[in-house]
Amino acid sequence: MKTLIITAMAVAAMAAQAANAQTATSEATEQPAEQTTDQSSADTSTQTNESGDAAMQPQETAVTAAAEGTQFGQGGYTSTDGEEIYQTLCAGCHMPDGGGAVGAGAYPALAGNSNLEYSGYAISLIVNGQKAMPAFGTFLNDEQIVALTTYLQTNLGNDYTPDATIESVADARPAEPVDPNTAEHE
Amino acid sequence: MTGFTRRSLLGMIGTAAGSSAMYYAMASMGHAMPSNYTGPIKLDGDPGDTKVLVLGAGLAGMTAALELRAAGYTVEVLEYREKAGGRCWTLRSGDEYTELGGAKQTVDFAEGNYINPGPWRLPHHHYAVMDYCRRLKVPIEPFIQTNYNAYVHRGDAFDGKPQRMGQILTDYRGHVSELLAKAVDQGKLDQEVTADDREMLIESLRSFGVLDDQNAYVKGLDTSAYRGYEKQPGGGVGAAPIPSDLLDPQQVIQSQLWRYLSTHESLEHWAPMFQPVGGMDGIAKGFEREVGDLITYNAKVVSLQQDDNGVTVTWEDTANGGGTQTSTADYCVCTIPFSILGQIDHNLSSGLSNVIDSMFYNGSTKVGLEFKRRFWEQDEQIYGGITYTDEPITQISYPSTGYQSDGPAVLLGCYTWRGADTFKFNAMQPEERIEWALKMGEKIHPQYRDEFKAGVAVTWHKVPWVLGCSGVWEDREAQGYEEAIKIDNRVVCAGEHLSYIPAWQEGAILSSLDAISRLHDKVING
Repeated sequence: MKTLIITAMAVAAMAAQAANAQTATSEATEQPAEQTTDQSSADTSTQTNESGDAAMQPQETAVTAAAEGTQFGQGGYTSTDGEEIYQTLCAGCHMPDGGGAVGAGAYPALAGNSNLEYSGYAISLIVNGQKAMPAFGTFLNDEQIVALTTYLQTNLGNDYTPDATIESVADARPAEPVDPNTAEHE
Repeated sequence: MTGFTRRSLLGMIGTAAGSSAMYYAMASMGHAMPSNYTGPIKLDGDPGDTKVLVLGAGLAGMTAALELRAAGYTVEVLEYREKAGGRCWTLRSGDEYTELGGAKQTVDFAEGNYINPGPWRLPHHHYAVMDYCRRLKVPIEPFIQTNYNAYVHRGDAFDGKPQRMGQILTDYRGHVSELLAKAVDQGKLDQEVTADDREMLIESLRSFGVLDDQNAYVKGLDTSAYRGYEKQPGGGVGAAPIPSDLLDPQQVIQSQLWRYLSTHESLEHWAPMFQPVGGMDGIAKGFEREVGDLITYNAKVVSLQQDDNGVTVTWEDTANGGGTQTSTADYCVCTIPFSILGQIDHNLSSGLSNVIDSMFYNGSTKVGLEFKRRFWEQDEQIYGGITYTDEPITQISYPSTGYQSDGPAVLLGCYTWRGADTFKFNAMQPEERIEWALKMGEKIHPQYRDEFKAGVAVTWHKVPWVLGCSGVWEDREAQGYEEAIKIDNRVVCAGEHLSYIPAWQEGAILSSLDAISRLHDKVING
């Protein structure tokens, strides 16, 4: 928890700096000639972090640290870092600090969630979904799901012994995974 | 066999009963395009003092409330939100919206400007929605879906420079037609094309692809009349038109820009499409004018119980400290999305419960961007319509109203539908989504940064009252669609998720009309 808050504060500071630098750099970095190549490039060193618009309302919640950056990452999820996967995928509903959320229905908190003591439950849900939660099995490979599950078991206020394995993820996969990108409406 | 051909039968019906009877006969025989909307619902018979409790004041719930009250029922509606409409929703100047996680956005658009975070266009063949707009006096106007002067764009095509859709379309069609015409002319398709059909097919390809009499797609005033000129014909001195260069066939094919040519050809996007004047929630307000007196707002349903005597719903009054209240009725029309209903304490049958728990909800992200001026009109002559791109924002939709007006205007700067990009936007805070929409959109419109004024971003997994934008059936048969739409003792579910038109308002209304028809039949006939 503490790590996350610090990260969020750092990101907020970066965003404020970026907002100042933005007017000077945005035109130079977005010339048409560069547009074709920078989408899949992993090289972010020459680009300024532009996230956070000074004109917007200040947000009461922590900025999602791992969603910051100069590359959106077309082509799905490629990271094998558990925290990055969590913050760019799961945090949308379960929230950056794992606290969950409540509206007409609720997203369960993962922070301090005893269902995470053993990885089997989380793996099954991530791969196959549950109730309104979509299946993520086709978005993430076995290695990514192990990294993610390990993050869940050892972060967000949890201190369980990570026990996910490539084999246990493979075993949880359905024989015929459904296509998650089926567009029955667009 | 009756001995009648279909055409002679229709002629007899037309003669005997007039043209509208002939139309309905044609529709039922598959000649026109029927739907199971057959005009305003008729619920004949006296339901006595039967009370129906409707859960949810979206379009399904309000349709049920309107029609059941008209049929003589006592109706009560419970709604989680502070207003009616559900996903039929418009965010406009001054509105506040707080998503799950607590991020609050205040819409800083100019007066009159808006964005529809949910449904935003009406196919003309969505007969039920169109008919309710008419009956509820909701004014509609054309929604420009197809604009050949808008762009198609991919980062790896034409050095990332957006191309006018009409040029790509004309060149794609021309080159393909030339290839096909040549193949036919050279006899390479003789197995598929009879000698009788060959000449007519080639003639049609010349027309379709704008080919010359040698079956070639070539630069000239003929093709420029379709794809646009280097310089348009004018008047007076120096007015002669100059034809434009054609794109190479390989370039057109390899660009993959043809991927964006078919969307507006799909039935759901056939021109004309429509939108309510001033925002999609015009439909919600139209219903609310009729049934608003039946609705209790800020009512969070926490329990739905039924037995042989009736239905009991427990709800929290969230506007007044969360005190618990109870509503009872003889029957219940439950339009609560399954994403929420699956978390509510209920004693529905195991068959229905299983379906509720098997349905996941789809995500979608929309970003509305307001700019200080209509640069897309003033600089690029794009009046309404949609630009498509391979950037994660997928499209930019320009406003279908207020053309050539001064002052700020709002376009739809991002619309994702399912997939990894939707989850990435969902995991961001609103200002990050807006920033990405600007970052991606300025590759198409370099004016973005200078002209940007305000933005609002809605991602549907974070919408508190639904947790997603529509219910997804992976396999209706395996999951139990028929089980889910049954009247479960005293409760019947309805909504877009219980239709074959998910995520469209038409599906919500048709589902509701079907549900209340069967419920009414049960009340009247047992």
